[in-house]
Amino acid sequence: MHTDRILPLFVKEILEAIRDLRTLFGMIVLPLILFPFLLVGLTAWGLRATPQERGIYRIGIVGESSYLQEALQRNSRFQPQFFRFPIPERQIQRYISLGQLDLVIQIEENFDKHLKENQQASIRLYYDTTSEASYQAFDSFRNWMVDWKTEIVKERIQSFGIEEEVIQPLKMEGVNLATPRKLGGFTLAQFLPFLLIIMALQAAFYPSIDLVVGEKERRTLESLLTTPLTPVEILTGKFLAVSLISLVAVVLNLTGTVLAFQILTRSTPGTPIEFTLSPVTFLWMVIFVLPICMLFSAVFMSLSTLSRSVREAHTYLTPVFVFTVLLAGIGIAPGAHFSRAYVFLPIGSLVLLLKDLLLQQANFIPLIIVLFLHLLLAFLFLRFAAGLLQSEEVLFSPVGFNLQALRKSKPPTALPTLWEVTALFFFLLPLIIWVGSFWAPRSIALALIFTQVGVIFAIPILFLKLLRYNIKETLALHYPGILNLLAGFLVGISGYLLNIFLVFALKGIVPYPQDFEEVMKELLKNLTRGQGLSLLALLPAVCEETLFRGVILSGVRRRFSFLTSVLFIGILFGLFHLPNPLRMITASLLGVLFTGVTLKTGSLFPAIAAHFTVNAISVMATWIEPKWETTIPSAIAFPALLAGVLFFSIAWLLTRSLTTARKTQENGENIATL
Amino acid sequence: MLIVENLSKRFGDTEALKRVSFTITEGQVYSLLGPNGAGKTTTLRIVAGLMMPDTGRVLWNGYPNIHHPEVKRQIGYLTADMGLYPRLTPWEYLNSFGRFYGLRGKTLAQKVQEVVNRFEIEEFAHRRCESLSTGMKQRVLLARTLLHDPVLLILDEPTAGLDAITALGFISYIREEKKKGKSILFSTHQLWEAEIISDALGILHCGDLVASGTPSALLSHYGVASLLDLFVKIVEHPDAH
Repeated sequence: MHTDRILPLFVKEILEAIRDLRTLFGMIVLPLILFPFLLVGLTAWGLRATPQERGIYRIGIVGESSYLQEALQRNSRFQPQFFRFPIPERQIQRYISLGQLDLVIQIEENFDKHLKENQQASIRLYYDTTSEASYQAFDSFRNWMVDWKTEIVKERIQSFGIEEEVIQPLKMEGVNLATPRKLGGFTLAQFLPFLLIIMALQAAFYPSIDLVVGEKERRTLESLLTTPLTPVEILTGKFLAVSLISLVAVVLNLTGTVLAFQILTRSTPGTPIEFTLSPVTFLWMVIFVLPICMLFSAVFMSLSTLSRSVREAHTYLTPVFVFTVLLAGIGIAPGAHFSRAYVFLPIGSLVLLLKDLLLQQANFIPLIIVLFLHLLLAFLFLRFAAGLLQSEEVLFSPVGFNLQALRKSKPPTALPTLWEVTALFFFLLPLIIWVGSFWAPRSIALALIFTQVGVIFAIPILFLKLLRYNIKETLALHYPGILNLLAGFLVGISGYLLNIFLVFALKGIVPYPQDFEEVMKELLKNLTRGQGLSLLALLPAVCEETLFRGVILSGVRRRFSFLTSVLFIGILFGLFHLPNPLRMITASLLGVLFTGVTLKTGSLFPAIAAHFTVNAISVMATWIEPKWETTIPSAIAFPALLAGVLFFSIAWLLTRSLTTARKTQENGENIATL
Repeated sequence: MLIVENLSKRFGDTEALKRVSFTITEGQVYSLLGPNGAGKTTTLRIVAGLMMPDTGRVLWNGYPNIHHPEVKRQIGYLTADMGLYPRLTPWEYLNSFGRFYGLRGKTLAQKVQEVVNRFEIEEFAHRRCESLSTGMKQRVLLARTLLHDPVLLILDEPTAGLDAITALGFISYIREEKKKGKSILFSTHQLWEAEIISDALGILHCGDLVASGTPSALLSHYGVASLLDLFVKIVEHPDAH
């Protein structure tokens, strides 16, 4: 990729985009002027709204009471209107319906007398729950009555010579610690992250259509493709332009909204709220929104590349737009706070984190993880779009793109690409978490079966079937021979022993997965031994090996060396066992061992045997002594390390490569044919 | 020298090209003729590196990778229905494409000025392309095709939609390029164009290159007096040849 070729394209795209009124509107007018001032206008309108909305109610008082009249005069929220004669209920209903009164108070005949003689005086309140103002007036008057009642009680007990403290033993005083600035941040946090996401989304919408499928429709893309620019460079130039447009919209919206609210607070003195963003917070917000802009640009451009016309692109992009708004909406749902469960929720996770940033409660580690995941997703979409831009079906076929184009013409030995398997992994990871957390509260066993069979096993197989990859070749389903299988079992024993040492060595450094152990123990209690081994040893061995040492390794091994493949798969397998760091480390080690044995033998079965062995020993150990792993003494840990290394060395010596054996056999057959 | 060897291409069940082969030497114009759907555009797209053949290959001066940026730098490709960027001016358009082809600074300015003068673009060089007439647009497109001084020109029906006078002017530009020693692969429906410009021609029918050679050799071989007679004879009875 040559930046000196991408830069002129980027400049051309920006020049073209900013001359388009629709892009300008989405990039400048809407985020900088329209939205902020609409928001502020609505708020200002709210402040100078009807008396009811300001908390001032018109109440009708039927009957006479000098006490009530005097008490009401001390409260400016009620505008009383006195009626000398009784009013029929129908007439009261009419006054409230027409909005002439919000509440009518009927005073009993001897109201003042009863009060004076320390008796109970009663009033009747007429209101209409179907009228918001009437109900609010009723609610407000009822609260005021409580205060008035307290006042009367105070006066009465004083007249009997009793101290107030006797009947009011507790006194409460609330002190609000929120500074005006913090209050401003809190207010902005309720809507600004959502608004920024929408601005980024809408600003990327039109240019991503215009610069890709628009070019296809205007027949200018063909002239670009005949230049020395490669499809990846063309897409990168366009992607940078769309991302920049989206980011500019975000920056302008952020500036516009904060400025508009500042103008509003200055024009209404005495408001106990301050809308100020420090330059550092401003900068961080822009940095955190950038991956979102890139993600939107990449997703929209992929769909735009797929489309045959601008109209078709609108059809594809609009549902994505709506879905994204829903995802962002999760972030501003009342009571939603960032937690681990949200890490894999695209868009929504960033809205929650931006909210935390405005509330000055940001935790930077999840922020970095979420940002990385969004960037990765953007990169995968971009790769996908670049692949499409090289597809003749997409560029020249009147039918356009269809799945058949991806599926066809694959030789029987074709393996999935690195990008395909990485995308598959990051697609499955959140799915596993969601399916697992949905079923776990109902039944741990069901959660295990659904995640293992329904997600980890079924989706990769479906992926291979859909894209017409040869399942046997991809998963390396070759009979390994007795020695390789035996080596697999030995690798399993070695993995278990080495993990014993790891648990011992990391004791006190990383936390022990206590919760996980408890859940497993509880599960095993309710299962027979056969069920326990099937569910916790056999099922993960088959399903997880199909995904990791089968599908993912097939895409990795064609691009990387033996060592890099082993480490890469080891890390992915570790990530799969998040969030407990100890399980992540031990799983990474096992991932390395299982990948090593698969690559060495050229068959998936030894890895399944190894995985089964590790899990089966763990299950059996739980049956014998449930807590033994937490108290491993050094007298066991160090011999376990030595034994683990020894077992692995024996296993390694036993294995023989099936690939070499097959090649030798094929060569033999070729020579025989000649 | 451009060598096209045994190009075959299928689109679903349709065989768009069947082992098409021809050669174009330096300073030669090779015209591809044929009815609609004969495979002319597919052939030109493969040669321009926009499509991959199912079998066969294209060699440019012995180099087989037609997709390589350095090879693309030597090619100028133009089709009749190619568009311009409506919101850019011809001046901006030419400068942008010049940069894509690696031209910079004074060389770029000089080359742009050269094509602007040669194709008489000056008077509308700073107007947005959306306001240009078809003839003006075609001049800008030709200017873009020749801007980086390519040695191989691939022109797919470049005069389609132009009136006879403008088309003749266009043909004279192509002849000038030929005189400069450029290899030109040209497809057209207008037989008079092929007659006055071609050094060699090929007639495609249903993906088959049914005839290929110099115009005079083909006329005498088929015993006809004009290119029109030759075209009709071959297209109506392709199996006889």
